[in-house]
Amino acid sequence: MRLLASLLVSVILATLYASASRAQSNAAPGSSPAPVLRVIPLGPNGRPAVTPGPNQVVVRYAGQLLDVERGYVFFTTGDGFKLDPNAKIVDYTTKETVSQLPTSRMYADASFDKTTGRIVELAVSKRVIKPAQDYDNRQAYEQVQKFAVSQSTLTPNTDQRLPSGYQGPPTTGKAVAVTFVVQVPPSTPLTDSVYITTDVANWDPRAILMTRIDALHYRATTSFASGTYFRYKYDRGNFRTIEIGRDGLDDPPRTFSVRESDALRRDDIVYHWKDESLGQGIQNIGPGSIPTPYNPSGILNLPTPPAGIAPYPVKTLPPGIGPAPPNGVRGPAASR
Amino acid sequence: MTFKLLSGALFALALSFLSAFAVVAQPAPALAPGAAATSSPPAAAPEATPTVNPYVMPTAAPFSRVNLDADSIDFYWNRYVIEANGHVRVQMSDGTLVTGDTFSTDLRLNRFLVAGHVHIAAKDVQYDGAAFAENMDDGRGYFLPVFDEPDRWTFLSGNYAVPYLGREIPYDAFMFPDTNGTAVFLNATAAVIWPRDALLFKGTEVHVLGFKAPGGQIYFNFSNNINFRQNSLVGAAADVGYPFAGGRWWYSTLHLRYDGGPNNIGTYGAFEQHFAWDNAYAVASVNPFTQFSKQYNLLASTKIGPKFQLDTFQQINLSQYGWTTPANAAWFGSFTATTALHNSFTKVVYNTYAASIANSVPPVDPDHPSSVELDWIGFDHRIGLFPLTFRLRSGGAVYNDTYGLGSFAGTPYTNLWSTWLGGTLYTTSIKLFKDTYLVGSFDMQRTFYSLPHYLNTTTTTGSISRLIGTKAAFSVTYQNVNAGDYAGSQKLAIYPPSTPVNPATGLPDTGYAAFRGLATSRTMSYLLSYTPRPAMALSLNYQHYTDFPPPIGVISGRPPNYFNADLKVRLTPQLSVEVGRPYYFNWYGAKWAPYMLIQFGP
Repeated sequence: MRLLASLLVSVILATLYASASRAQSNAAPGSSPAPVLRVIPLGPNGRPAVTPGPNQVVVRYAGQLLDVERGYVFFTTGDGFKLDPNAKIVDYTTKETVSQLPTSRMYADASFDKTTGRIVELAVSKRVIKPAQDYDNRQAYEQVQKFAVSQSTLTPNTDQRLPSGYQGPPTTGKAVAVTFVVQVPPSTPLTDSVYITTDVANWDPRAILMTRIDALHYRATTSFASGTYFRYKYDRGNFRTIEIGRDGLDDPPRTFSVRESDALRRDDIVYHWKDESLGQGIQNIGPGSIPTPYNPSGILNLPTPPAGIAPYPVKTLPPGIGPAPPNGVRGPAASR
Repeated sequence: MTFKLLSGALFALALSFLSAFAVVAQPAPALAPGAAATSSPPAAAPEATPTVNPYVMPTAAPFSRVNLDADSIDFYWNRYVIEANGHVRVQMSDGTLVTGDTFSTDLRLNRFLVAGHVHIAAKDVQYDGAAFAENMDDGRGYFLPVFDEPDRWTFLSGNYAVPYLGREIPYDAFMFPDTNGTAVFLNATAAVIWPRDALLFKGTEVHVLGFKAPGGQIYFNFSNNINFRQNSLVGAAADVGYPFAGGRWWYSTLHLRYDGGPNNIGTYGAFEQHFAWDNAYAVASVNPFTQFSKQYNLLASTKIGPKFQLDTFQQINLSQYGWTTPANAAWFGSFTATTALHNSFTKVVYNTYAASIANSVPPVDPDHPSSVELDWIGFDHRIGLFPLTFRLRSGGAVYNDTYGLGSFAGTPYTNLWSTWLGGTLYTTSIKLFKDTYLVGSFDMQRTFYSLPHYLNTTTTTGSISRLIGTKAAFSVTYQNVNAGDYAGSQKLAIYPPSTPVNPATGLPDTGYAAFRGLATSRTMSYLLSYTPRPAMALSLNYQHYTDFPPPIGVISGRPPNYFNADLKVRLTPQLSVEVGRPYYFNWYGAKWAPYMLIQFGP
């Protein structure tokens, strides 16, 4: 009787030791011992978790798969978890065992044995597995993260940073109303519209229409996700009329970082347009517009005088010479 | 008793050791066929790198191109996401080859991910693993190798021979872009990616309204370099472009265009070639190439240093059947050099025109008309604490006209000189009372000509605006433009009394009888703008013109009344439309402007 009792104690001890060894070999260093209480949370879809074995504590985590390879399951978090030799791989919807290993991009609901840190059941789906509202998948991840297997000791990464360009605190990507107010050159025609062209809109010259608020100012409000970093320029509908710098050169585009806020405002000044007549004006010296002492192009509404009336030196080409361009416009072409 | 207990304990200890050993020695489970299958034998784990946590200045990955092959490649245009599945093969321009089951890239974030039975073959090294992610902006490669156990490695600046073991990896490094609810724009069998710049797909099928149409080779440029968007084609009523070839610095596009209305060209084809660099671009086009009358264009610009820029525009108009010898051709060329100075800049513009550069006997203008112009433009300067700012300008030009000599009062001339001096004075916004502001500007220029006359031009503008909350604004603007050509005793010779016939009515137009070179144009503008939400902007603009000399029919001048409504609405997160059309109030029968603006954009 005593012998039987001692054998029973020995078996129990051995089992406990083996379990402890397994946990030690799989769990990350410093992980706490398995809790005594049996915690069986509801799964992401609200269904009961896998039936735990004796002394088995199960926690579930749902995520997208990177790979299932050599006995490990990799999630897009970058964590690789050991798959238990007796683990079941089932279809998430039908609960039937699947014959093929899951592939990349599939979604999986993994049940972990908290004692061993291994995945004991993997329910897979090609559709997104949305955790139930009352299930905290993030908290579940925090519980299973320590089971991730990694040969090397984790070391901090000091040069992690946000995506290039954006400078500022972390953002949530919420919509932020950004108002642009621009002062334009006094020479801007009153009938012209002013636009913002931006790399976010693939430099469409009519990307954002501005509304005139007085003779010298235009305004536009548009929304961007916080954290957006973009380049932009002002124009009057095409690239021939885009802004140039105060020094007359093509400046690099302006830049803007959308920080976390309810609304933002940017005030800019356009000093010159690319097509601006700076002084005498860039003359079109094509036929009919050659500069003359009478400078007819300088006076609005001056009619084209009848041919032969002196002293208007109007030039016309002989018939058949110099075909007109498709839209009758000579000189720098307008943008599409 | 003691012995029995000891023996039991020893037995238990032995069992536990055996059990523990069994766990350690247990091979990877083969749960299903192919569980341990890899494309190549696993490579040995490298020696741990000596540096535990180096800080290396982020540098871009050392490759400028990524070639992608797979069983299927999907492109989500509106998300700029590419996904590929099946026998994925990613060849980087530095020679590194990554293979795997699946591939994803978010082109805006400039990173890609290969997952599933990944094999990396770089210079002198080969690894197997579960996933590989490359952040191309920072030159960071993240890898999950699988040997006996998985690991986490980081590669820096494309050096795949030196992995940094165990380094913390950004939480989203291996996340697939979420494309749920996003439509595939095209499928392809191969793609070339120039990071941050462009894409080229081969063997494409474009998804159109639920159908798949073969698209051949298609190029997309998504560079933030604005120079790629320069173009040399004149506007058309409708234009559809097919970018069929391209690279990191160039692309070629065929255009199918339509022009009706007064030009009445109909449907035609055009070709445009783009080159773009950080500080330079060149765009050439043939437009149309399917018609007898063709236009060859070249638009180019380069910035040489921070203070100097060269621009040119060249255009050849010719009559040509197909690609045969042109029946005739005319050339226009323009060259501009801009130099930034201290608080000012100068611009030199040279224009030339040749009416016949092919097959004209005799040549129409053996000495081409040309002009050289030098402009000096000062910066804006505020006057003390006053809300006034001024800007000065000056310049000179010489015009050479050999296309028939001009004459003035019986004296022939070939060259004409002019010099000018001008300035602009304008106010900042002056608050009159709550939400009501006044701005004004005054511009004046006098131009002297080598022949005895001078030209005065003044422009006066005043505007009162009222902001109505944050969403609307109303403004009234008055503008007066005076242009006076003063030739002293010669004014009657230059501007003789004339009574042209109005072609629209067939009646003499007496408005010019009193015209002696002094013209005035007055504009009253009433504008209401309304932006109820960021995705919508409405502008209503009415203008009334009072001009002297008055317009003659539809051949000169502008209609006295003008109204324009312009509406831009965002239809979807990726698509907006702008609609607008001016109205002329039945000016000589003209009610609506010939063209209605309907433009779709991102």
